[in-house]
Amino acid sequence: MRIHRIALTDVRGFGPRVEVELDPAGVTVIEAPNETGKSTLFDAVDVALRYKDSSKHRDVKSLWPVDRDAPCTIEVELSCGGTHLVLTRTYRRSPATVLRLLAPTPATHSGDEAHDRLREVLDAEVDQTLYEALRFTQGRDLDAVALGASGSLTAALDRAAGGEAGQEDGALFDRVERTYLHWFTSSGRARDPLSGPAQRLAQATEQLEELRARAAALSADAEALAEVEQELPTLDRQRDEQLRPQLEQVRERRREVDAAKASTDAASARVATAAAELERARERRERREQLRRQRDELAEQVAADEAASAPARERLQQLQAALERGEAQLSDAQGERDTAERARERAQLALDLHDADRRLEVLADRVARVEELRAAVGPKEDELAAIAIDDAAIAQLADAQREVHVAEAQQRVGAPTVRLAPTRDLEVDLDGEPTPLAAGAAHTVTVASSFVLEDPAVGRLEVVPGDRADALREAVVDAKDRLARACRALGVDGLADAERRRDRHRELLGAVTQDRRDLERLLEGSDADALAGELRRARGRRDGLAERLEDDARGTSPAPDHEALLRARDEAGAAARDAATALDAARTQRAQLAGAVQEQHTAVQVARSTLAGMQERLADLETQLAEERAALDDAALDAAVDTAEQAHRALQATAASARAALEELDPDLVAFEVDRLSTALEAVEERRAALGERAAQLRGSLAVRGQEGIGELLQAAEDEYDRARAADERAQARAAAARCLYEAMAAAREEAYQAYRAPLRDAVGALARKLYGREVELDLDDELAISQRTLDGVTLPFEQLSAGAREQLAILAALAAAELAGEDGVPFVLDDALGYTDLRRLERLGALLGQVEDAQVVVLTCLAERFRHVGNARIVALQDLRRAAADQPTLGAVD
Amino acid sequence: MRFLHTADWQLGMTRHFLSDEDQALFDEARLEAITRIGQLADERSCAFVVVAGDVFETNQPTPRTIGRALERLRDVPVPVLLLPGNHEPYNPGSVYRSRAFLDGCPDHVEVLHDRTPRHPAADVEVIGAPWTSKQPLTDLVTETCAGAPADGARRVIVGHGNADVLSGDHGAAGTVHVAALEEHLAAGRARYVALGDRHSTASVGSTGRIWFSGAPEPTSYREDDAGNVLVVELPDDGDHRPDVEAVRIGTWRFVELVRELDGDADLEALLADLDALEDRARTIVKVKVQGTLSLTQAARLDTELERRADLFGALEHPERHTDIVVRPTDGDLDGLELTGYAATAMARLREDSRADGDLARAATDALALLVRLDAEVRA
Repeated sequence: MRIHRIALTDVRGFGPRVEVELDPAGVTVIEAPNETGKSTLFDAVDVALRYKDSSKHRDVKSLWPVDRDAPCTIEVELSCGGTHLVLTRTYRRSPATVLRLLAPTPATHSGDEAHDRLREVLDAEVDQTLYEALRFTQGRDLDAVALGASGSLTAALDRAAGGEAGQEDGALFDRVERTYLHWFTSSGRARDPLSGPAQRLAQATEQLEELRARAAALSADAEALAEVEQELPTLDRQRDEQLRPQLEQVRERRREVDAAKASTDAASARVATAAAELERARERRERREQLRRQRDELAEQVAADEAASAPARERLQQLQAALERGEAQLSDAQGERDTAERARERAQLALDLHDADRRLEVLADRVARVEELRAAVGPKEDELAAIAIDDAAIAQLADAQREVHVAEAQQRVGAPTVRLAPTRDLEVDLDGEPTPLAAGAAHTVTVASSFVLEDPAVGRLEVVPGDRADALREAVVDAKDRLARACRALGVDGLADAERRRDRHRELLGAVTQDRRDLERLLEGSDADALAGELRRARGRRDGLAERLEDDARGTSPAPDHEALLRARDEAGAAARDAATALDAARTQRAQLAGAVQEQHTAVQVARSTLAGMQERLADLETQLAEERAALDDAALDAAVDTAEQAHRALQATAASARAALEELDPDLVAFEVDRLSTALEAVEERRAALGERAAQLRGSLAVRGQEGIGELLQAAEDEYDRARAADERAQARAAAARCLYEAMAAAREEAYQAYRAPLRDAVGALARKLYGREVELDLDDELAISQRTLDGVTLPFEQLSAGAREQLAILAALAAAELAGEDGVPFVLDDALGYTDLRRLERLGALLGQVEDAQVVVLTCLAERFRHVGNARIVALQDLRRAAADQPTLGAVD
Repeated sequence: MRFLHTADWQLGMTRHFLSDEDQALFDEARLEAITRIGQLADERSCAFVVVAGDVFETNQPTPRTIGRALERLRDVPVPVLLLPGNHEPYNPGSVYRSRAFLDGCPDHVEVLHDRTPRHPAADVEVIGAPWTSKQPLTDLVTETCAGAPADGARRVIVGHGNADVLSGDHGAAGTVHVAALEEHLAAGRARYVALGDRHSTASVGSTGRIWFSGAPEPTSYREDDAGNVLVVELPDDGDHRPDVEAVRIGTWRFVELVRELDGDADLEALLADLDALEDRARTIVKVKVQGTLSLTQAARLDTELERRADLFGALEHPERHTDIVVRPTDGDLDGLELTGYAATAMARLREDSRADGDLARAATDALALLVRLDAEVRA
């Protein structure tokens, strides 16, 4: 769209008609101070193109002049596509619309028709999205210009990308997308229009299957009942015409069999009675015979037993005689054994006496030695007790002696010394002791105490020791005192004496110790008194033995020695043992004889008892036989048996006849037939009953289910299934078509967008390089808006650019779009824009605008100077126009 | 002696292509046929009416269907003899043994459930050959006729089953062997055989004594002469053929329009034929077309058929892709004036539509949809 001319009359601040002409291809700069109606020009164009003359929309009202009640008239001349027109709208007063078409076919429309024709042209030819995108007004949001929705731009880009120009595709795509979303969700799931028929089909299928199953069950029941009803009469015929008559026949035959069987049974019973009678007679005769045989046998046995018992009695007598002899031998053996025993005891006694004598001697010797030792040791112990000097006392005494020597040595060393070398022999008083000193010899005198040297020729020299000499002397005196006390305590004269006495003590101690050991050995752990007691007891024992021997061995002399005595005792012991052995043998033999006698005696007694019992039994048998014969003699008994045998044979013949008659009737076959037919009849009756019950069940079931109209319901379900399937298939096909179309268009659209991006980016990039004068790269997003800028290698998202940069890039994008859209484009309007842009960039931007050829650019500014770099722009001074209009004579307010 | 021969009422039948309202009308028409039969029997002084099987569509109709049928039968002024046919054999589950039927059955209506001779009027004997199962093993009609005495009596056999001379199938269950049957007729065992099963009126054999009455209301497209009942006059003299008159009482019809469509002219002719049909509310039409249509033509066919659908009892559409081939043409798509990606998408779809199989089908449908949506957007 190109706007050629705008004329306003009584619009906002405009009074008389003001007409502004615009350059349709190139830049028009409309200059006017602020608040003088620059923006009103395009606001008025917007209203005129959009609202009917009768509209009271606030956009319309905003154009009304506030200071007068005048018609508000807007006239716009524009061209779009191949149409060139002039639109005149009058609002508020005398509203009117006149549309004058200048090309392609001149025509004039008015009123609503004019409005409709106008909208028709504009809707077809004007890219509203682009129109709004290319309106830059002061204070507009500096978001990146998104041109993706612009049909004319995309058409232009399509051309640039190698496509074809055409109509707006966005609406079609929206419609395709809506259609797709009618069937599917955005994630591709089926929506109700698609899933609904599928569910309906599923329900119909389920319903159909259920009804088919029910119908099949019903049909099966009907067939089953038909079979039952067919079988029941067959069973009745089988029962009434076959089984029952046949059963009656065989039952009649069974009655005959029963009668024959009764006869046979009676005959058999009689035979049994006769047989029992016969048996009894035979048994009686048999018993008689047996009794007689028993009696004979027993009599024979009694006689035999009596003959056999005599040897046993004889043997008993022999054994009794042998027993008496054995007892006499036993008595002899006992006498011999007693004699031998006494000899052995005597020999032992002699031996014991001999041993007692020996022991008595030994004991007496030991007692004598003990006494001797005890007599010797007593004086030694007394002496030993008198000497109380031991090694400790000696050591103590030696210490005292050593202390004396030490004190004396200290005195000698510590006391002053006087050395004298007399020229003549002298005698000096030394500690009161006259001491000679030979001439010519040197003498040393220790001044332990005072000493005096007197020489009549010389005078008296007295040397007196000091305190130290006194102390040393006193120490010597003390040591000597202690030594003297120790000697006195020990009762010795000195250390040498003490050592002598200690040696004697040792000697005595050794002798006493030896004596005591000897004594202990003799005593053998006992004491002297006990040893003496033992001696006394040994003597008493010896005397006792001697007395017993004396009593027992009168007339015999004791054995000469111990060895002989031992031999004599052992011999006597052996003789005693032999006698005892002989005695045991005699006892054993006697006991054996006594056992044999007892055993034989018992045997004889038993035989006697047995014989007595048999004799008694024999008597009983004789008595019993006699009694039986008295009741019925043997001949009568034989006759009774014969009679019973004859009766039994006759009855057996009768019974055999009866059995033959019964066999003739074949009772087993009759019984089998009765069973077979009865069972068959029962089976038929049971089957009938079961079938009757089954039939009743089936009839009941059919009666109930027959009322449900399943057949018709099934038909309806089949119809519904057919309809549901058809509906589902239709929905599937339609949804598939919608999906196919949508996917094809979406794919193509995406590809196109990819292709569009390049030419638009190139166009904006070329402008940007001119503006910034150096290397700059721009990226576009899916909506064809600038998403980021790379300048001197620094990339920034669009939102982070400065307000000036964002404004400039937005204008460059719009300018590129306007140029790309070419003839299909719309006016690019800059209304007091570029407020953020510095002068240098403004100049370059102006120069860029000046290079525009294919687009229509309208710059509204309060400072035309800002755009002096726009080369061949048409400059319109709006104030001048308004002033000129105001100067025109008023034509009146009347249309 | 005159009686009325009818069959195949198929009461309770439903058709999936009928809407609920049309189904109700369809049902009502076949109940109304009973009333018209009763009126006709009265008008023509028929002594009785025989219905030769398939009185009900199923052996388990709803009590409502049974009740309404019996209600109409109650008004028929002469005895009515109903024969169980293959749709409702007289088995234990038979509709004729149902409580609803037994309780509501009028006295003058009798079911020929066995071969016992009936005498609905003086000097005539009627023997039924009922179906007692879905699969009879023998030719029931001939068997029944054979069982009648060869006495030349005025006897009518009522049977059900297709005739071998018409179906060509001699082995199918219940098939009537016409030649054998005619021998029995010639022997004087019966004078007329009233048959059901075939829904179109027809006389079979050479004697003029064996007839299918056809259904009183048509039930499908296959029937060529449905909608009749037969008024049968049995002369006193058995040697004379019966006088049989087909009287049309049907009100509905099934029409199958089979056309070759290869362009606008064929399409227009088809629509004209449809528009020319009379009594469309009781006409069920199936349009079967073959040929190739453009997208525009196919869309038009769909639209035009859709527009007329409510005018007919039912209007069955041809199945797209099976009966007709839809080919996108230049004419379909040139008018779209698409540009840019839309034009690209269209070109690709068109390419796909030239292939075979599901892809081509979906692409063709997608193009048709594109044409429609474009028209909507433009509108």
